[in-house]
Amino acid sequence: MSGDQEVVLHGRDAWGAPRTWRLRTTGTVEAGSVLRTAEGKLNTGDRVVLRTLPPASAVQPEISQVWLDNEIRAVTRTTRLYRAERPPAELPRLLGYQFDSDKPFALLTGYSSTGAATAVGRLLDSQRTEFTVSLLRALAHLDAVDLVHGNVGLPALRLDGSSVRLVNFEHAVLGGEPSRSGVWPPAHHGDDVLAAGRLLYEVYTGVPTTGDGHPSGTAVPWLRSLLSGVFADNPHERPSAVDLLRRVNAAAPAPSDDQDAALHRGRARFDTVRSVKSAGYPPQAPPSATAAGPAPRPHDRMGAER
Amino acid sequence: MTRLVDVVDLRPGASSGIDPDGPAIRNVASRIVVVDLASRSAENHSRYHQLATIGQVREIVLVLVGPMTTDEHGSPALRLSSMLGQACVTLWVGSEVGVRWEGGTDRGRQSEPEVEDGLADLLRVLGSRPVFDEVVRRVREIPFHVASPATDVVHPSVQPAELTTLLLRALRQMSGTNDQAPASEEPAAGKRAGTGTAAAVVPRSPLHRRRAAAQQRLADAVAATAALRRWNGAFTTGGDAACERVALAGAALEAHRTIALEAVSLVQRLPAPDDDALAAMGVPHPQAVDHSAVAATTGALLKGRLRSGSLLGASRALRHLANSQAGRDANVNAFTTRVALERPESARANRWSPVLAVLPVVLATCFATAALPVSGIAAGPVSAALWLGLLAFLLTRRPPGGPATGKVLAVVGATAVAGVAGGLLVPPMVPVPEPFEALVCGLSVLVSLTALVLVWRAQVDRWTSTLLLGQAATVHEGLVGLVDEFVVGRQGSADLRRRTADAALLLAGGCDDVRAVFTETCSESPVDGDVRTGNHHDLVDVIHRDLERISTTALDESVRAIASGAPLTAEPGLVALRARTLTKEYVDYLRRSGGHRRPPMGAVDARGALEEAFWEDSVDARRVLKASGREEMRQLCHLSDIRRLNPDWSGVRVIRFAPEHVLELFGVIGHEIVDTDQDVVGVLRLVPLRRDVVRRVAPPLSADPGGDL
Repeated sequence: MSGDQEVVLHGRDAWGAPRTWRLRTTGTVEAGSVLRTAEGKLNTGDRVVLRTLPPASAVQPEISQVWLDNEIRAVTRTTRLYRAERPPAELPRLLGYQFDSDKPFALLTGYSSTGAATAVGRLLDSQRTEFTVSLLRALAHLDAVDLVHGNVGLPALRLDGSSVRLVNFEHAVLGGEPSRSGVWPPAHHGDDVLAAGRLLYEVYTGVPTTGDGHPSGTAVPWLRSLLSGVFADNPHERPSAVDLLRRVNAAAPAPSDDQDAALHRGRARFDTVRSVKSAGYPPQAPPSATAAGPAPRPHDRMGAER
Repeated sequence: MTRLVDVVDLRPGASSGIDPDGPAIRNVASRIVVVDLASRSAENHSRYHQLATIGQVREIVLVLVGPMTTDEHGSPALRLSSMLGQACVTLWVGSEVGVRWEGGTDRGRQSEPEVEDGLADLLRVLGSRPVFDEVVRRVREIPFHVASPATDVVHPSVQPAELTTLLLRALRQMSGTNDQAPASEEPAAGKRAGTGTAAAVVPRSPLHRRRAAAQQRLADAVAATAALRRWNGAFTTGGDAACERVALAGAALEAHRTIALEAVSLVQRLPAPDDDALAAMGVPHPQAVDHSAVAATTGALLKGRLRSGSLLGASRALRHLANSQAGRDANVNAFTTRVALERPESARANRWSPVLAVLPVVLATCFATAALPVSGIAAGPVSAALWLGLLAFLLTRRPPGGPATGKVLAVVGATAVAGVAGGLLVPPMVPVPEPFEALVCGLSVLVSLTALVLVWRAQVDRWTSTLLLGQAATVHEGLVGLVDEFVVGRQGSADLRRRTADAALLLAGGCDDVRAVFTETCSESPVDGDVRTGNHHDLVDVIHRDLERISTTALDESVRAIASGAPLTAEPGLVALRARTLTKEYVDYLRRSGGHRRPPMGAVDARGALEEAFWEDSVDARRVLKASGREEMRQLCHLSDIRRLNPDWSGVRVIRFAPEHVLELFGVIGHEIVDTDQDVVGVLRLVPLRRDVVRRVAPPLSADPGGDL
């Protein structure tokens, strides 16, 4: 896929409705990702990013298919759980996907294709704080929807000024699922926090952390207090992204939207009708509790959708 | 740097020099060295024509490589195309390795097989414009303008390949993946930028008012408790008033604590302290920044780290400087909770002890007065009433604490009644005189009053011991110190620290950019860095200094921007562009002129040691410069070719050349030695060919000189 190319894509949007997109791709870009990434423009003029399988010669198709599925699943989840009116600027949004054809793809809203590696080195003081807050907000968003990115690092970051967008979700899984094809321990949000901590340490000091993830040099006191606990061996003992946001005096991002909100009115009506029908039957539990029931676990929702 | 002499290599498979088919050929220098095979020289007419007709080309040195061909009679001949015309002189290199030959009747010897390419040496020295011009001038004095060259070239310092290796090593060292110096071990420059000392909390600001109020109230409370303890404390002050003062002091201290902590949290807030909010509290605005001082601090750190380490080390040290601008967070642990001025559960034990201690006195005085034979009947009850009355008064004026008033009065009353009753009921033993009775009454009153004052004191002391006024004063002083040193000092230097941090980060980013350029230069270099090198400490040091200067020059713009006080932005690519240009020019210069002459972008005053070392090691250079041309030299032909040369000394031409600094060093300027701009000292011997071996060949009439061959 090199050079300008007209592409017509058939797939589904984040809510499962069939859609067709016409776009002009402007060639594959190096995106620091194992998936093939191309920039493009819809015929509406909106910039998009098209993520597809890498060539079969590079990676076994079964493996790359899992990566693309991970990306589709994760971005569908963030897109659905955050309402379109106020999408988190720190995460990509899904326009559409296709996973059960021979040419699967994920179509995302456009973001800069170049990694943040060199740009991060040029951030000035206040911009570094904005960068930090922005990165932590991205993690807090993921934490809120129970996703673990699994590959937080400079190649997966895009910088717009000093604010971050976290992309490349090919290794993203739900918390507790086996990370990276099952050979790694169960994914935990602490994994992303650790990776972000190493990244921040490197960005602030210019000194990379050692292989086991611990800072190699001495850091200034406030950086130590910002990252305190982040390098704990047990992911459960690491602070959450929201904890870290608090340490930099930044507010936690708004919680994800209640996707059952649309059902509330219907449920209320069900309760009313039911109470009318069952009038006269003395033993009756409080209607709202029984009718609404426990909210479905996020896993179940995802499972049902797949 | 524009090249003054270009090389065009027409040999098949040649990769160096200017591509004769490329676009660059139209922009060659006015002097060109054309390299071709001797065997093809009679056929390349159109190519020669093309070169000779380039407008700016004035002089051509044609270097023909390889054995001669034969003429129409089968005898060896060097066939020369006539297309290059009068602008051209020709050097014939029969063998690139050459033979050792003294000239004259010497028959020559084979060169050592490992000797390096003589043709490369020749082309290299021809690349110097003065040498080129001299070669053209001297070969024109030779028949047919054709000569066989002999070379003796000495690199005064190091071989080119060795120099490249040293350069690569220095580049890697400057990029510095192994810079182990920890960033935290910075000298004074690594400390925080100076803190403002002159500033103080603005008078009559909220912060100042609350501080003064807390101070005043605490002093009031201390004074009130002291007054309460005096013998007449119950009359003048009273417990309630003292209690109220203490409460007021507590409230004032709390107000002070709140605003001080708010100021602390504002001043150490991320991303940036809220200057206006702090100013509203009474913390003065940050002091103006001395931008040239910031530029000096950061620039000095940069240069110091480059001198002792590498770009990586400099980048880390600068980042550390930036990070340390934030300073330590204030230790507010001592002030996190509200300061209570009274211990909550205060000295419950022995609440009755002063009362119990006074009971015997009550009993004794009441008994003694009531037992008086004459006045006992009146004095006893009066004594009891006096006790109860004064005690009741003290109890209403007492500070909080101690047993309930009613109980105390009941117990004391019962004791007094018991004393009076006992005194009245005991029959008088002996008659006592009246003055004695008066004395007993007076003593009783005195003892009673003394006991009451002591009881009052005990009561007040017990209450005072539950107060934490001393501790409160310490907290107050702590808060004052916190605000003065931490908040005001920090806020005073806030702009300076922000600017210093930004400046350091700007330079750190620049260091990373330069580093990337150096790394890129290393990876682009065609020579593998594994050539064995001698001990060239001085030269390595000079190259390091040069690279330092290139780094700082590339960052000059940034330092100027810092000093100017303009808003800082890291323009991506500017530093890298500058560094790339400088580095490329430097590498070209080094490859051409060696490390001994200071390149325009090189370090100043770095080459003294190098010259000294050179002076000691320059035996070869001196020998070459003294050469007459009759010594054994490397004649670039085969042994069998010697007989085709004309060794008659009158026709031989000798050119000696050396760089200016060598000439100066040896004091030989003006001894007919060509001043080359390259790092070579050498001698060229140009020997004419015998007249019968040179043939001029014109292109066939049918051939179109401009067409393709």
